[in-house]
Order: sequence, then structure tokens, then C-alpha cells
Amino acid sequence: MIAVETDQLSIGYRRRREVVVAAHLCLSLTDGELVCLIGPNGAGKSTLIRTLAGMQKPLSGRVLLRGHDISQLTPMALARMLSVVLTDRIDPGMLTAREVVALGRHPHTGWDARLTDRDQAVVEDAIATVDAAGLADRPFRDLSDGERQKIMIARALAQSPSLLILDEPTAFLDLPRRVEVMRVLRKLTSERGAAVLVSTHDLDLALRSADRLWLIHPSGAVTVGAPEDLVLNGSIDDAFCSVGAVFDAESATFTITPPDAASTVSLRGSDPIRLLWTKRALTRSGFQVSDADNAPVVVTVYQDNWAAVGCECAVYCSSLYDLMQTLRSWKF
Amino acid sequence: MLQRASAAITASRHARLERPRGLTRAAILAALAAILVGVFLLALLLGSVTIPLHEVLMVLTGGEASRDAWSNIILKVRLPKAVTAALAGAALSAAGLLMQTLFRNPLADPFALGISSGASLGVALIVLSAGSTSGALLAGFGLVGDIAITAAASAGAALVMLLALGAARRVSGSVTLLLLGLMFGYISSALVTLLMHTALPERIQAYTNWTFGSFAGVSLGQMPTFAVCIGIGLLLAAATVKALNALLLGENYARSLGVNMRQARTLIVLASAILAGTVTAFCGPVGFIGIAVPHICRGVLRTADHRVLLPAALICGALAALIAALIAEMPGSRTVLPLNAITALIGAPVVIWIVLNGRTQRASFGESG
Repeated sequence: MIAVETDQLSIGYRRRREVVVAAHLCLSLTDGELVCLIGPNGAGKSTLIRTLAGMQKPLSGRVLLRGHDISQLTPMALARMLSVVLTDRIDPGMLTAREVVALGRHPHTGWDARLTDRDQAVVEDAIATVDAAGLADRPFRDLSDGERQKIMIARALAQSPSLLILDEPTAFLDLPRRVEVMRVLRKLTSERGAAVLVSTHDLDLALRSADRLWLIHPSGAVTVGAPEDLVLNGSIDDAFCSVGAVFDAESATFTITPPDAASTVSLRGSDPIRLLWTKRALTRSGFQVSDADNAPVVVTVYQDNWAAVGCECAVYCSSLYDLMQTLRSWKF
Repeated sequence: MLQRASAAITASRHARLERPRGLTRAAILAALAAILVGVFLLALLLGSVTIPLHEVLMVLTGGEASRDAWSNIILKVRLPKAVTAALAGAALSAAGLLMQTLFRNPLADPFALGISSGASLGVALIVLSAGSTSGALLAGFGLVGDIAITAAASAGAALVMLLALGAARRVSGSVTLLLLGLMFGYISSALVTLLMHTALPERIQAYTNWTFGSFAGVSLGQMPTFAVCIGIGLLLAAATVKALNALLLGENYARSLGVNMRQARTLIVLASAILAGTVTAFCGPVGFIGIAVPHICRGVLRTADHRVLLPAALICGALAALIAALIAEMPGSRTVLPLNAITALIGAPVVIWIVLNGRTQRASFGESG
């Protein structure tokens, strides 16, 4: 079932004059689906997220949440269907992690915010889902960034939404924590059939975890598709391309393009891992790596050292650092 | 199914774990309430003359004291004064709590919106501006003068309250509101200074006396008005508790939880304006209780949950005001010290302790607070 869809949605700002970030968007997100919203800085990820979450009015068009126009819903009705994890840093005083999660029940409780047994069970369930049972009784302010993010996701879950929107939930987290957050989100979609929309800067993680990508181009156009489709048809490269960086479809990462007049180095060797890291070191140092033997310098990778031959000398290096120093000193 | 069952088990285990903490909080509140009753009785016992406890209890239960003078002192002087102090302290602390959470600022107080500035300006206009009418009204600073001052303070406070409410409905962020309140305070104190510049010395003395604050000004006849206004303010404050808890996550999250921010902000401003305005109109600008007591409550109960903090603020506020009034009275002597000097002498060390100790403040408002 479709959790949220946009109908000819135009987003942007009304300042002194209208600033259109993206126009005529027709996007949709179905239950059980994890969609990552990606795009270069300034393309409008946050504007789209804020508009979909009802925190900002669209310039035109509608956002339909389970068929209801969100601008027609009361704040309470919206809060029962949609919950968010924002980038705002929060200071909830002396509340424990569990009390922060329990605040997620706000739209479901009465005037005195009393939690029923069912509310308590939902809160505990949300905490268990993000594997945060050990954190629940600790003061929220004592938690690390990664732990806080888990609790904020649990809080969003406790709201019992049919759509969960997360704005940059993996920013400021180290790699294991980022992977953990995405794993939790995957679990939500596969086990609970939740619809989840995540905006992220982390292209690699998005490519690995999302069912679909919404890719915003700097022009405001949005391309939708499975991550692999967008890699194959060049959309990713297209959206992110900038001076000096190019998307390498083989390694699924951005590589820094060497300056035009880079010297060429031939690379030989048998160990694929040692070859890979040698190639990385050479590229980083501004050399163009070629497989042909006709380059002015040939580097051979051995099991415990490297041999560089060219410029009328031959040198053995015991580390890649030495090798880079040597090659730079040759100034070929 | 299994998952739900295990969640239910965890929930019940959680409830078991939670109970002792809930009990401790209830016990602390009960203990504070008991102390409040004790101090309230003490306020009836002590004064320029000390009246024995059994005589006080006799009078309170409708009997007659062994001396007529004692009955009069208790019923006409000390009881109204103690009730005024308790209500005013509770009102100021509740308003302070609301303001501190709305603005997420540990230094916000009941007068953050400029309520007391408005009241001061109203009183200054009546007291300081030379004119035969006000001169006649204030002849001897008698009863009529008192009513005129209360009316002027109410008008000033109400005017600022309307301005603040209008602003609360329009501005999108609460910080703007705080800044507007601060600026209004500067404007009105500038106007008061101008009035003082041209006023007669005895008028300045009368105005200064008003700014000292006093719980003795509410007569038996005025008490119902005073109590009803504060009762309304406290009911409104209780209605904001759920929104205040959501606001602990910041305004954006509160909105995402279904809180209608404009409506919530208006209600919070209305409640604190009524509370602070009523107290200022009847007792003058009583400082420090409103800023210090919410911090004490957070420190003692170690929570940010307003369902606990609001009742705690009411009890501790009443307690703080009664103690301040008792000390100002200087039992056994005929001197009465200015109330604001006493509240500041108790309140300022508390605020200093909070700032230096840091933990409670940082815990409640974050490093930036």
C-alpha cells in the first residue's frame, strides 16, 4: 500500500520572492520500503524532507499521506501517522532514555499524558526493536551520539507511525554506528512493514541499504530507481559530478581525478589486495596508474616490498610511504 | 505474538522497577507538603508578638483565643498575610517554571515577558506623576491609595500581557518573545526613570516602597479576587503540562508530536501572565522566588517531568515565600524588612550555587543554556 505520495509537488521558499527548489514532483513510497533520499549539498534534500513531514508548506501541489492531504490534517492526526527524526540536537533535561521514548506516545495519550499499560508496552517494544534495552534507564544526556540516535529512532517508533522520516540520521556517527542505524531501519521495513524515508549524505550506505533511491539533481529533477539501476544508467555520476571527483562504478566510491598532466606509472604484481592498496596510494599521490608497460616508471608489487624502476635507477622500498617519497623525488 | 508477550513482560518488569522511584518522588512531595503546613503554622505563631500554638489552633478551628487581641492578630493580619504569601509563592514559581521551559533558558523568570515592568510603569504613572487627583488618592498612603496602586499595577500588567499574547500568536520562535519582553522592560524602566526625575521626594519614597514588595497588602476583602485569579492561572498552567513535556525535545519535535505551538505558546504565556500579573498587582514585583524555586525543584526531585515539577513548584514556592515573609517580619521585633531584600538574599545564593555547581543547570538546559 502506498504510504505517502506527492501530487505535482513544488517545494521551495517564500522569501521576498519565491525560490523554487524542485517542481512538479510525483513521488511515492510504499509500505515495507526503505527509500534513501540522496543528492549533493544544496540540492534540496532538507526542503523535500521538511515539506513531506508537514513542517514547511509546499509552493504548490499536495503531499498525500495514506490518501489524506497533510495540509488538511490536524497536527495531532498528522502526528499519529507520521513521525520524524530530525537533526536538531536536543537537551531534554534530566529525562532518562526511556522517558524520552515515552514522549513519543504524546499524540496517543490524554491531557495528563498518563501512559496506559498498552502505551508502556509500545514504549518497551520500540526500545527492544532498536536494541537499546541496556540504555533505557540511563539519563539521555549521558548517551553517546550513536546511542542518542537509537533512542530518537525508538521515540519515533513509539509514536506508532505508518511513515517514518529521518533527516540525516547517520551524520556525526562513525562507520559501525552508521551501519547499525541502517540495519535497524531495514529491520523496521522488513519485520514491521513500515515505510521509511531517510535522507543521507552517505552514498555508499544508501547504495547498500535502500530498496529505492530518490536522487535529487542540483537542477531540482528527481530520479527514482533501485540503487544499482541508478549506478548503471549513470544518474549517480551525473548528479554528483563536480570538478575533481568522479564516481567509480567498480568500487562504488568517488575517486579524486588526478590533475591532467599527471605522470603515468605502470603497476605489476600478483597479490590483488596489495595491488589495490598500491593503486590507491598512487592515485592519491597524483599519479595515473596504467596496466601497460610503456610508462616512464614501472612499480612492481612483491610480497614484502616494492620495486620502482625508471628514470635510470631502480629502488626497493619497504613501505608505500617510502615508495611515494621516492617517486615524488624523481619528478618525472 | 511472542514479541508482544515479551514486550508486555518487559513492561511489567519496568513498572516494578519504576515504582520505587515514583514512591520516592511522592514521598519527597509529601514531606515538602508537611513542612509547608508546619511553616504556615509558624507564620501564624510568630511576629511582633508570639502566640502559643494551641491558641492558634483554637482560633483556626473557630474557637476564641484567650485574648481578643490574639484572635484579631491571627484572623485579620497573620492569616491573610500567610495565605497571600503561600499563593503568591506558588504562583510565581509555577510561572517561572513555565517560562524557563518555554524559553529553554535557566535565567527566565515570571517577569521575562515584561509583566512586572508594565505593572511598575502603571504604578509609577499613578504615584509619581504630580497631579491633584492622584495626590488626593494617595493622601496618607491609605486604603484608597492601596486600591489605586493595585488597579494601576493590574492595568499595566494586563496591557503587557495583551502585547505578549499578541506577540506569542505572531512570532514563530520563542526567543523573539524573550527579546521583546526584555526590550519592553528597558523601555518601561526608562519611562519610570524619567518620571522619577521630575517627581517629588515623598512620591519617590512611596513608589520605592511599592517596589520592595509585600505580602501584607491583600485585605480580607481583596482575598477572593486574588485567590480566584491565581486559581485560574494555576488551572491554565496545569493544562500546559503535557505540551511542556513535549517542549523538552525542542519546538520542532514538539510540533512533530502534534503540539500546536502557537496555541501552546499562547496558553503558556496567558497562564504565566495571569499568575505573575496578579502577584505583582497585589504584592508588588516580588523577585527571585520565581527564578530560584524551579531550579530547586529540579535539583531535589531529579526530574524534568512537569507532571512532577509543577506540584513541586507550587509547594516549594509557597514554602519559600512563607519563609521569606517570616524572616522579613523579624519575629520578636517591630521592624519589617523589605521583602525583596529577603527573597534576593535567599534567592541569589541559590542562583549562584546553580551557576557554579552547574550540574543541574547543564542537565536541564544543556551546555548552551
